[in-house]
Amino acid sequence: MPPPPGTPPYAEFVVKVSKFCNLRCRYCYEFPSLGDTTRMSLDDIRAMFGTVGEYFRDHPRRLDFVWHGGEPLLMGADFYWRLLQYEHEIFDPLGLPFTNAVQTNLTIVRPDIIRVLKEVFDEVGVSVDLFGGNRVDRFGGDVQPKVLHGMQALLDEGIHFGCISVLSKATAPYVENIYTFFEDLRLSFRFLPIYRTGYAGQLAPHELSPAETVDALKVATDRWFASAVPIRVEPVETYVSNVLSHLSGRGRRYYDKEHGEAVFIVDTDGGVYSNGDAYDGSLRHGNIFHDSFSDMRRSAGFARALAQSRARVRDACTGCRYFGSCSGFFMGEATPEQRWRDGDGRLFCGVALPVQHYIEERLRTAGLLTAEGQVDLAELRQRAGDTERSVGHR
Amino acid sequence: MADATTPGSGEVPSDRPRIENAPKHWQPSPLSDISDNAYNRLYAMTLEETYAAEVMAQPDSYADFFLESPQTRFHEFVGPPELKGAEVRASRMAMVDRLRLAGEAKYPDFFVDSPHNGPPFHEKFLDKGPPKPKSDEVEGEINLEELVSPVGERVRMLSQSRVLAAFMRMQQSAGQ
Repeated sequence: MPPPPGTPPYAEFVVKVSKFCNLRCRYCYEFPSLGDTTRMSLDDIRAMFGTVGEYFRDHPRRLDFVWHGGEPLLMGADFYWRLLQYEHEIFDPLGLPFTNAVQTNLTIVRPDIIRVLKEVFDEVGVSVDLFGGNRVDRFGGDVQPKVLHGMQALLDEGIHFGCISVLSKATAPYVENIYTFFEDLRLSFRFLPIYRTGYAGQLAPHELSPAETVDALKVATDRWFASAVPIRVEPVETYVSNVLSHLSGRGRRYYDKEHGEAVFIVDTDGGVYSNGDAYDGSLRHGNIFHDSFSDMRRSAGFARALAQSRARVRDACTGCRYFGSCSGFFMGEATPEQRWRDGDGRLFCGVALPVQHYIEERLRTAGLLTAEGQVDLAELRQRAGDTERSVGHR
Repeated sequence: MADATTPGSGEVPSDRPRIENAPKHWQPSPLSDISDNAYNRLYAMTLEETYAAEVMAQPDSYADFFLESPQTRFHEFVGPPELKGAEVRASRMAMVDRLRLAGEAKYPDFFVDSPHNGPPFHEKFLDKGPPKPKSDEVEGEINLEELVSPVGERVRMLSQSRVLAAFMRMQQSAGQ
């Protein structure tokens, strides 16, 4: 039986193997748990793979595991070699492809870790802000020099990696500089606005308002347009894609959690949550160590999460000029911190919509739109074609 | 009065970074400033969107999703099985990756011919010599000798660090 329309071809599991971390980054939403050494055991991991394999053999998708924390590399190299072995044992016979990614603070760079990064993980994400001094160890020491050293080690080893820079009050004034740094190194990266809080009051010194976030992302957008270096810069490229899809007048995609959900947060205790709902117990789908995936999709927690997600998309996305090109995922999976309301209490899309407006206007100003407001493909082809010989050398 | 960012208003957006402590050295580029490379990227992405729309118009096709998640990942659709099988389609950025490769052909490597009456060798910028043997024997444990390198060696390594050099350039440009 074919999958229902809107079913994505992958399922991504963001696995919190442990909250334990050697750092105490000041804005970290896991801050209250960073000293907790509770960790998933290999038996837990095997149980999780069993649950996932049992369900997805009948709903074939690519399985993407993102090993997350805390600092996931504190689990040690052996842990990842063993889980890779389990993945092959469980998923290969079922014909389920899988990938592994890790999001690390890159403060632990040993030969055994390097080898794991190189041979176990398909993708490596490094957290580095470059400004602000908010990424600190338990004693308040700035770990950035160590991280920069680690990045060089990865480059020397030929390990492909991308970076995340948290967009905060400390980094927003330096968006231009941060972009240039990654451009210099030919490294793709993401500006990640703070989107979740660890405890009341934690984010006051760090968090940007939606308008400030938009301003910062407009600067990033300007740099994306002006840059001669084709690195991937998120979320700018997602927004550009949405605008191009909108201007094509043909694309139609709508996010609905029931069949379209693709990102699952797996807490250290096995609790499963939607991307925007972690760790709200009332919206917990179930426990991946003990419950079947089918049962989790029928649970009361998932039903509540689904209803709330649909309500957000309905309230914020209906009537939006980009809805259908922008799938509504931003609102469907918005964290509580991203569920902005106007003075009348109405939910609104505080970042994606204004940045996409800005991108569309930039395309118009550049003369890339027709009188009907669609992409002037002939003009764009000409400008791209004219420069084909000089790609990368501007 | 139309919002300056409202599409169709025909006005140039006037809004610019309003963050109070924005560094003064940064001057916004003119809105018409689009690099040659960006035109290539935009063209590649437009073709990808057009193709996506065609595939989605097929019966029983999957919708595609562009996800904003905390990870540095984004995903593409797959077409209906009769078109593409069950394989995930290559990222739209594959085209961009090819552009990147095309632009990075001129790294500074060269051959050195018999220096000091020795044999010729192939020199590559930032070359650190032959790779170290794979250290299977240190699996799962820390090799202190590898971790604690002599001070001189570390200074030399740092002086060759592309990352550190880029960081220092960035700090200088930020006035720090």
